[in-house]
Amino acid sequence: MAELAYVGKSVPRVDAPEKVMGRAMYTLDLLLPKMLHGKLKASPLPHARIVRIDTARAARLPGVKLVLTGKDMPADCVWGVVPSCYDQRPLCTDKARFVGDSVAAVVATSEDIAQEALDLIEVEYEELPAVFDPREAMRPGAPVIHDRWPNNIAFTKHMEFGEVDKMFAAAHHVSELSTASSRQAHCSFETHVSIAEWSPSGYLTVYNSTQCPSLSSQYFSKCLKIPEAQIRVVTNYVGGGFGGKATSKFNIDFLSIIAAKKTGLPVKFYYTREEEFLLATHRTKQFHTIRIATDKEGLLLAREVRMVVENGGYSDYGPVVGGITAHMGGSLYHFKAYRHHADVVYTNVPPGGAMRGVGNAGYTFGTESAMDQHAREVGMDPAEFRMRNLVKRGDTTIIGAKISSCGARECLEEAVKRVSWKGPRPSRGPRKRGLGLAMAVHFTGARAMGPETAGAFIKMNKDGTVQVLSGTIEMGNGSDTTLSQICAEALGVRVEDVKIVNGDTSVNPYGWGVRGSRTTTIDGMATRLASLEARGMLFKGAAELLECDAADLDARDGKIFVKSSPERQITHQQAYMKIYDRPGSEAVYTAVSYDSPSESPDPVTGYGNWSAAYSFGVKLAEVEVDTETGAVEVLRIVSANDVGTVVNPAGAQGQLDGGALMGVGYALMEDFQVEGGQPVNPNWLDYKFPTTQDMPELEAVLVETENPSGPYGAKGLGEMVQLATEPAIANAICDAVGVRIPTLPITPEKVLNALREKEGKA
Amino acid sequence: MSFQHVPVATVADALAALKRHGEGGKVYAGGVALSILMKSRIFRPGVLIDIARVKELSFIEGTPDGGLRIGAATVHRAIETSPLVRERFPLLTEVFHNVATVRIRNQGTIGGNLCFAEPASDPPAALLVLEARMKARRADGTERVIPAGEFWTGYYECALGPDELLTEIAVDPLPPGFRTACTRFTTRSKEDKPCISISAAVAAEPDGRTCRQARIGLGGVEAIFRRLGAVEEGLRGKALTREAIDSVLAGALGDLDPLTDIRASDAYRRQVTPVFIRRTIEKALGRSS
Repeated sequence: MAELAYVGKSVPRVDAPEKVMGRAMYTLDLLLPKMLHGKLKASPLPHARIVRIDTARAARLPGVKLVLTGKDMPADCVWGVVPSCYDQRPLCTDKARFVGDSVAAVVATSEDIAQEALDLIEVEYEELPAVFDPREAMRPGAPVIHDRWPNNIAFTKHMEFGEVDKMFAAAHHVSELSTASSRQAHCSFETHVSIAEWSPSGYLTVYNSTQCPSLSSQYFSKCLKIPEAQIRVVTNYVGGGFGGKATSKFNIDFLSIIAAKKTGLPVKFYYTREEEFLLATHRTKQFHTIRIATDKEGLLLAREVRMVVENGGYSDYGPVVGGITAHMGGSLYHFKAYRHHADVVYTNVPPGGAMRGVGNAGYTFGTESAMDQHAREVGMDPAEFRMRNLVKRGDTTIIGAKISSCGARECLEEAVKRVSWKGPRPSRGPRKRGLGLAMAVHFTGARAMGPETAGAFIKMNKDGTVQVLSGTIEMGNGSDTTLSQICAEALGVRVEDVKIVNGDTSVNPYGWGVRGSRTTTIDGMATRLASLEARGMLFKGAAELLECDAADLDARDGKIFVKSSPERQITHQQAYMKIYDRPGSEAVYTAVSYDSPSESPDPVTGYGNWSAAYSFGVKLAEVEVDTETGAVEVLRIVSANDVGTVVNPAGAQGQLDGGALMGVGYALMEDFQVEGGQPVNPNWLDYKFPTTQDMPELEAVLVETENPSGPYGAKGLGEMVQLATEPAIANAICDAVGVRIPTLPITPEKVLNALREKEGKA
Repeated sequence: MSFQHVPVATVADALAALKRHGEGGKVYAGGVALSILMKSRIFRPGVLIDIARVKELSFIEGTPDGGLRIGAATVHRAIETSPLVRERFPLLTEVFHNVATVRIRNQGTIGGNLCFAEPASDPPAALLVLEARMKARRADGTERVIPAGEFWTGYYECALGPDELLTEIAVDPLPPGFRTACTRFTTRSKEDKPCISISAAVAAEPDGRTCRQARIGLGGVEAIFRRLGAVEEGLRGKALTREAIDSVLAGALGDLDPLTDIRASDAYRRQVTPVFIRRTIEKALGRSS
């Protein structure tokens, strides 16, 4: 491919100036005239029947405009992510299912008044027996959390291919490992916020901080029976999402909409930091038991993963986790047989949800810890063991994934090359060093909830500049910049001539949202196709002006020129005016709907190529373990990733660094703890994530492959960059001191206890 | 939440306000701790007596004998970056550098830190080792000096009465021959509060190998900051080798009463506290381990 003008270049971020200067507008900043403020009354009990709510005193407090309870909610306002698991309501109707569950809401002229009024609401509860561990919740006799799911199992995913038991029986070696992940919280700087406003004619505008404005609009329409044409969802810059704002946590949206309707004034609800922990989901806690069977050559015969997903009190992305992990588990290595069984189980804890690599991060911690253990048990180099079993381009995997581009092998080779993989491990007194690696695969938009489509509208202006109306939002991920690059490349204009217009469902095409590592690739493809169509229109005028065939033209950097003699050139503006300023005038507007080439999995077996592209990666960690204290220092992470063609290397680098650091946090320190149903650390004093002070040396290696279904060969990046960090660290610890910690986070205390236990055995 | 904000300009005004408002009045300096408690509605003040702008409480002065006087409302960052502090008490420079992050060090004050008496904190162990004296004043003009060893009285509790204001922290120079160090151990992010915070001052006999005197201050581990008297006694006259130190620690920490919190369990703190004490002593002696 000839060198591209913009794709593959570290174009400065188009949103940088306003963000650096602190002038970017976030929804949390937004204040409307006469706006009212809403606050939520939280259940102090993990499981309790609501016997009586007395709101009279709260309603009498001066400044209070409205007090809402479950009785005020429309009966059909029930939703979730997977339709068979819809169980969420804006406010509790019968009982509270976790500490923090919203039992009432107050709307007042100020936040302080609303807060004060909450204390005046009297709720009489009948405390019910509660259950906090999903493995206990699925046993007979456990307290029932939702009557509709009497065994507490919200969702089961079973996928099985090949003769699993036979393979295990005939195997040369079988290993088994049980692992558990933790509740990592998104900790976005901006918490969830929703502001609703109705016009007298019944036109609803909702300003919310979401990764999915179109989905929001769809849910508001369905649950509240409002025609979608009468709904406008506006999303400004989003202050971080990481999947937390791609979930179905529409509670405060519904409350602001209902309250705005009842009061006739704009109403704002937002989550405090504590509420963000309790109500806005976290990475689902997962328990895995992994069995691996290999033959004499170290080839994988079968893998079985039995997992239990902690759903929490309501179903958000928990059920999705059960399925995503089944697909991802079967897309990295070759197996002759494969079994995945996931039970997603209700408990009386705050609901889990989607977070960067939804389900796959905790799952990969388990499976890649197990792969490492298996290699050690059979005396094989863990890198070599993986190398023998990796999928490659052209393969169709056991679950039906069609691997159309794959740099997994190259990633592994490149990562190992960057360290002394087979060399000695230096130590400093009690501090021992180790190296560990892990691999992962992740999708680029998954056809889990319908077609993975995207749209783009191009509106060319007569001065040669262009607006791209896109169904995306900018949440700090950099997609406004990559989409600008893609449009500039395809249309041949300069990046500064492009403006991405998004975050308004009344003008933008439907968008699945900025989630699932899909935006640059799938929305980018729609943008590219719409740009090419616009280019085709301009080339018609240009061909007339330059007296040549449109097929002989090319465009780059704001010039349209004859390929064979580039000095024959005109501007986009000149080409536009040629077709516009004449009888039968044509304006350059284009609209494209794009469906990524993926398949819906078979409803019974789950078999199918449910993503258009798969990204691969290796994380290699070097750690130093203090054997006297159990403290682990991550010295270095080599991150080698095949994310297709890199559209913006500086942006990719930022994602790679941030992803690795998020992985360090998940591996070593992050855990939203709930004890006996009570949240222990729902704030940033007690919940700790890594900061720049914890940053290891990071080395990013980009192995570029060409994804045939991506714009200029791009594929998903945003989630891949975190995946496999946690097992790489766990495997490095094992390499350093010979103990395997199978539960996240890997605290000094766990490491020290394991070391003492090992000494005791020796 | 409504409360009265009373900014004061002088110590006399602060004391008068304290007297006037009694138990309802709370001294507010950097607000680092109080504002969090207020936002989470754990603490609802009636009156906040704001001493952040009391100039006479913000100072760092050397004394002719080589000691230091530090005003109670001096921010951590000022202590951390003071050349005088670095010259006379490098231990304090290091300890104040360890406090939280630079943003908090620019806001939080030494007096606020000491009076809040949160166990997961670094300065107290160092001030214990330096045998600092805390000066407190009452509205009636009386002043008393509280030795560091008597300043912390309980979990989040210090010796100040409701009408008393901490005005100054004074430290005398260490006797000749002492070398100092501190260690801060976090179990999660390095920006976390300390799980274990230890300061040590060690003086060797002229042979350079035998312990003449040791002072060990303990923070983060127990509900109350304290000097480890039994360890200090045990070390006296012992060889300053790793084995000898470990042997003393093995016998002298029987009364350790560690906390269990989000950072670690009591059992873990019990196991690793001796490791960090030994490492702090070795660090003071200029060895690394």
